Amino acid sequence: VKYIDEFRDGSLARRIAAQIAAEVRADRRYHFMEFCGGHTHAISRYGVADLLPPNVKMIHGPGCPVCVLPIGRVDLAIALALEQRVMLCTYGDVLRVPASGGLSLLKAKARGADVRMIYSAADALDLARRHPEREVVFFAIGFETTTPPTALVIRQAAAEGIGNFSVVCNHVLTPAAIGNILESPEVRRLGTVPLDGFIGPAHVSTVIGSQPYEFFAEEYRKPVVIAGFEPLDVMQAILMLARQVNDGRCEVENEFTRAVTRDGNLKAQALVGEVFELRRAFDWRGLGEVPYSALAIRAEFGAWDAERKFALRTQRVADNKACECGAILRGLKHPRDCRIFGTVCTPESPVGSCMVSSEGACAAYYSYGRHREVAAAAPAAVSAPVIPVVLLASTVTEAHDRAEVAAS
Amino acid sequence: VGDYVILHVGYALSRLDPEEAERTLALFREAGLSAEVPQEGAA
Repeated sequence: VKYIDEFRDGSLARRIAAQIAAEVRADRRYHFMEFCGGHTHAISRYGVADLLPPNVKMIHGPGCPVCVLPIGRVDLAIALALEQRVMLCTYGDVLRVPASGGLSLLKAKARGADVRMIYSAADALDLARRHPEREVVFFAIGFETTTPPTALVIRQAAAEGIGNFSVVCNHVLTPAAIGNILESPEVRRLGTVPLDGFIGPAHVSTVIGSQPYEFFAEEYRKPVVIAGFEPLDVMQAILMLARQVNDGRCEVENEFTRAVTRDGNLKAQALVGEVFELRRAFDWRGLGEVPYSALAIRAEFGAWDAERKFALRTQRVADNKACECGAILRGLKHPRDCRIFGTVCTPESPVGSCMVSSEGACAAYYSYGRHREVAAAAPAAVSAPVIPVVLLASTVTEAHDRAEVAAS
Repeated sequence: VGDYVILHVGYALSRLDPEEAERTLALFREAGLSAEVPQEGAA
């Protein structure tokens, strides 16, 4: 596929890796957070971490929409489906998120609830058109990428006067989460991982542009490089971040210029501004309450806001005590630090949300990482600096673009 | 219409700029040109 295969070339990846190895200084630490789950997935799937020198570490951030969805919000969706008997539509990943009482939307469906998996917000509106006798609720999740489509269907429902359609809005904001990782009461209490830079999201940035990250570069003195989702994009971004660290620069650089501009998609931003407003605070799994970090539907569109329509109130629910998702989402812990990882908690039966989505740090590590680690531990006595052979090009067979289904 | 776009949940988020894509690929290749980089097969 054009514009995909070129960005997965294995020999080029090894060259960039060698360049990184040549430029990083042995006496320096390079701890970079990839905020976005799409990058977490790419790093695990293509073995990017194996190509990096030991002092260059990638820390997985909270940019996985399913992973940060708090239990209380999923409970809300389940109650709508089971008690109010609405037709509940949502993206596939949400169905398996563990909620209270051992339930999930999928299990609610098994109990007779009408839960529909959709690929696009437009599908939910279509269902409402086709079933005028039913209440159809779209449980909308995601960062700035999935927000404009939700805004579009709300506006369309209003324009067409579709009265049996409404939306539970769980849309959250990337810059607010980055800010929270850098500075929040929890950070002051729990401490935080020292971060030397960020890889900025790919698709999110096509919408919001590169400008919102300038604040973090200036105020918090953190280099940011916006990168595409292909493995070479990520490698190149790591090289650019390492150079910034070496030079003592803290700038926003854009590796993903083929799709991201400084201003982003202004049309999408205007649409989002028309339909949504900021929530004073929103509960994030792992991060807790984050001020001004999420969107709510404006009063003008209140008739399509399921929270108003069904007088919903979100209860805060504590996460499973054994689950380390909270610390993992903040980059404080690694999936392998979790006692239930891979035993009680697996992608087939996830306890924590990081195990649900393929973008979650735990699921990505479970699927790709741990096998390699076991294999790498065995031939430890191999001579000096060998660059691991990772056959990047061989994985291209999965040609479908995961971005079409994943909501990052 | 002959453009490549970034698709997300069924909606096009942005149009891909072919010139910028080439520029980025050229940047990748630059890494392979510097002297201290071992040739392929070194691993």
